[in-house]
Amino acid sequence: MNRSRDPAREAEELAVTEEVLSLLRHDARNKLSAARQAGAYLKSRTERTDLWTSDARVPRFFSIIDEQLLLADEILERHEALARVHERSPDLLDPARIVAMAIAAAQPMGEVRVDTSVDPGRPQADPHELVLALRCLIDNAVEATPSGKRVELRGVAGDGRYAFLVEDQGPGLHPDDFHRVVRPFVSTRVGRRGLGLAIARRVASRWGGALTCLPSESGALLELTVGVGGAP
Amino acid sequence: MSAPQVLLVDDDDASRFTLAALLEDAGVVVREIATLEEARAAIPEEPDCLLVLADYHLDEGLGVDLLPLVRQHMPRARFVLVSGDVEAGSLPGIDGVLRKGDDPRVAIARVQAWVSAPSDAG
Repeated sequence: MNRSRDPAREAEELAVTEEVLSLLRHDARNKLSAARQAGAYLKSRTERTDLWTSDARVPRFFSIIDEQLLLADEILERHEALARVHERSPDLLDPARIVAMAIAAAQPMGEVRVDTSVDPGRPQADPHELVLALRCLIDNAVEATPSGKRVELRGVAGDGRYAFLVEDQGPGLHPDDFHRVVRPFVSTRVGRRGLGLAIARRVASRWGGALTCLPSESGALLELTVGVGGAP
Repeated sequence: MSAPQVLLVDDDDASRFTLAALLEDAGVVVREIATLEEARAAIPEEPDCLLVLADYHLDEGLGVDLLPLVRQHMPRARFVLVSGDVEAGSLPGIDGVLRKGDDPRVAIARVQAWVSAPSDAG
């Protein structure tokens, strides 16, 4: 079967894969590192006792424990490599075009209006990743905003960075809650995967920026920044 | 009891407990912290601390969220993230990353070096 390549869909699939693997790596590495550290402590203590020299299997067993944990960690590295097979292409982008593509790719908006105001600039990122990150923020904002209200998306050129600000008219988001909901698989809404903000944060970080929650009197205000030059 | 040289912030009990044991066995004085909230309360209490080791992913947020408070209250301290996430290494403002899963002997040697040569960046 001959299927045409869809870079936007590939970027989304890769982003979801990365979030899943990142969480698995983090949780698995916690367990592996604790086991390696416990083994290292016991080894250093046992080395000072007669047991170390009286039974040749004891030092060998400590080596086996460490080797096996190291191998398990290398398996995690190989999965990490798998997630990076996709080639990202850093481009200098037209922010107005990126915003238009993100709005076009967003979920149906119903009676919510999205107003845009985009400064000229040259943000540097993979275009499909940046469109995906903005799309995630727009989807979140539209979903939080009551029918008949609006979402505001601004593009602001700054010193060494370009910022996309997405502000909704929903119930708002306290910065302390933002730290919780930005984690993968955490959502305040039933039936959601809770990956959108995590994906947006990872994309921003990869391209020299960040995703932050700013104070707002309207609702939630999120700022996604990326660099404007140089390699990621 | 000596003042802690290292503040170790990690919500994974096993990971924190075992790393603290190794550091203490190497002669480093450690104060263990399990949550971001505890860390925010502890940082102003330890102005002479030389090193903050903070897990990148904590239950209530990111370890790097502590960086401004560390810079404000711990003028001599380095701020190092402990993480299995390669993206942590690219965060601005941090002094280093200890990668979870690395050889514990290497981690101990790096901590000893940081503690014996405190930051003077302020």
